[in-house]
Amino acid sequence: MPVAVTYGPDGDRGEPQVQIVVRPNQSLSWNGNKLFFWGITAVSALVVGPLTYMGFWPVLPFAGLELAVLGWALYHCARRGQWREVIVVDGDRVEVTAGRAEPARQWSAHRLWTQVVLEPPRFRGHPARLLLRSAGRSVELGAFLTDEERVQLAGLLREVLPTPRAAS
Amino acid sequence: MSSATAHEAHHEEHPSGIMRWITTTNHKDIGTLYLWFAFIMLFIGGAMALVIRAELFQPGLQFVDPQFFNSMTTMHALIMIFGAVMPAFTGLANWLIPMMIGAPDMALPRMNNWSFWILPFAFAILLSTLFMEGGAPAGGWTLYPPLTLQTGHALPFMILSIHMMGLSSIMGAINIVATILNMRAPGMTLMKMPLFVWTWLITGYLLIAVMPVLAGAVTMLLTDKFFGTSFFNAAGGGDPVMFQHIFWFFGHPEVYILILPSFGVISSIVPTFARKPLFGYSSMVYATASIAFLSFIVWAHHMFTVGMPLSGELFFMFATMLIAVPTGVKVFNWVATMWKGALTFETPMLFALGFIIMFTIGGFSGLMLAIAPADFQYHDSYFVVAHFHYVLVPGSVFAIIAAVYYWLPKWTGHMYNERLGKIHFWLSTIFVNLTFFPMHFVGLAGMPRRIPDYALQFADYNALSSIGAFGFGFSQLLFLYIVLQTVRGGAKAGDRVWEGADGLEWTLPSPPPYHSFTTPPAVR
Repeated sequence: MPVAVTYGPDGDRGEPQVQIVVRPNQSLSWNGNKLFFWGITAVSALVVGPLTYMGFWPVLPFAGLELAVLGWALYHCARRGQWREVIVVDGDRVEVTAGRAEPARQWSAHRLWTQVVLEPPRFRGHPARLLLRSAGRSVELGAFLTDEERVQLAGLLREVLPTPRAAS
Repeated sequence: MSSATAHEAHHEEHPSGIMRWITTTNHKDIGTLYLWFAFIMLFIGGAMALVIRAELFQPGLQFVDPQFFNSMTTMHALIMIFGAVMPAFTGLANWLIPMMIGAPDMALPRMNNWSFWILPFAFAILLSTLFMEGGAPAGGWTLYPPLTLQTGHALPFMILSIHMMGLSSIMGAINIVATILNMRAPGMTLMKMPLFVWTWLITGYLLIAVMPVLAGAVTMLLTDKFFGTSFFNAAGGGDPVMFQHIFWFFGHPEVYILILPSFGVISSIVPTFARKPLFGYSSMVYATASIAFLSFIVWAHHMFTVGMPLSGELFFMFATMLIAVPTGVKVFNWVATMWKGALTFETPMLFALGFIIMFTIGGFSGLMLAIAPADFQYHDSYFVVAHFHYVLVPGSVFAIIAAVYYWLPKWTGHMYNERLGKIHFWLSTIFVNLTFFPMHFVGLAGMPRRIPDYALQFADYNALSSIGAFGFGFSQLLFLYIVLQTVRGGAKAGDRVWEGADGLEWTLPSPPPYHSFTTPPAVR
């Protein structure tokens, strides 16, 4: 499961700080993507270079445009794979920080007033949604996970957020 | 602090009716669209083939004038290659690859939608040329100048449509490659991927490498015709033979783009019905990669007669013959997979066996054509027509039909009618051989391709070919009936439809949920 749990030093109330990091599945590293891209660029260059040299230059812009789209597609996939959702439970506070290099969104609430909600899908076959909800505000977690992983994450959150109002 | 429930909210969007199909980004919906589009194009291109065969039923001019006949050969090829076979394989890729690798969808769903919806417009433009002054393009799908530059008003429309088809193919290929590389389930290493995924990864690589070459070539035709350039105009210092080099540098890998996914399909079906694992998985992967590599260095075997230096002819002859080695590895592995297996012969297996035998016939006639001195005799004869139709019809098309029978119960949740499926197979096999086998004989006897009339000595074999073509064409109406019957209902299909089936797609319910993998796949 693409979820990592670490337990920090004990907080004020003698309970350990818990940090859960959730990340999307990414089967090829950024370096792997770059290797693939430059490999195919080299092949294209071997094809397009001689043609351009011989004067058949209209092949060049099409190859350039296509490689630009390929590069964007691989970058987009790799960038999407860098998304992280960090859930920190420290004492009475629950904090959710999500983003890539820097936080794109943050959410925090009182631990005892936070519900873990696993909403069933509205349409058959669609994924369920995992929410942390407190005082009318909510944040979705692990939208990129499979349903089974989402259920596991919900179970993990219920362990570290043992509130009497926890709903299923 | 901010509330952020809108993240990935598109999961909740679920339009219905026609808007579902227009706006869908779901890989199964888009796969279905591709497959139905390919089916429609198969019938349009097939109708054109029947016009050709009706005209050739007997010597003399019967039904159409020579210009229209040549339009039919040109349009038939463009529609079958770019409209039927390629979209059918892209449809299969859309349906199957995310399920096979344990991904929820394609990597770039919106681009996926766009790459499909370009196609209907591209082919509407191409088909509209039939009604234009000067008629539809008639210079052959190879578009050789200066002949093709004599096309009337249709030329720029044809080139625009080819650009749009290429754009669609490129976006489809990029999406498939990005999906395979980045969205495999944990544990699904490259060498654990099903062969169908491997063959599509390599096909995607080929598409990305050669499509710009086609785009550049047709653009140069356009500028030669309308903007006074002389890329291929000998009078202006250009070289018309260079167009042939450039075209076939695209065209030969294109042949493998049309056949490699078939290898993946057959490699999925044969182990299932032999109830044995695929023999020589690694060698299949390396053979596919070898074929892809060799496809870049054999293009000039299509043009041995243009007057190449002897060293060039020798190089291209031997390089072409080399392709028989990895292809032979594949055929050997399929046969070895069946060896001592608990074989059963359901319809997908019958089509797979038909593929193996008849594709091999096409491969052998390809070897004959690779021999440069012999090719001087065979070139532009019906022997070539017989060769590439054996590779593409009982090759690619049979593999697509086999794939549809194999995965249709998974897609629809219903079993197809096995008896009708077997009748479809036998009708198709008998008629496809009746159509194309006699072409070997008329070709060897010297009948040239792309002509509406011929000498009397070719009459009997041509009559047989025409009867076979009509039989094969009408047999596909039975296929349409079987597919529609299965979509509408039938016996319930289980999750693992076939006893010997192996792969992540069979762990999903039949039909699979709108979003794949509600449970995480276990990759063994």
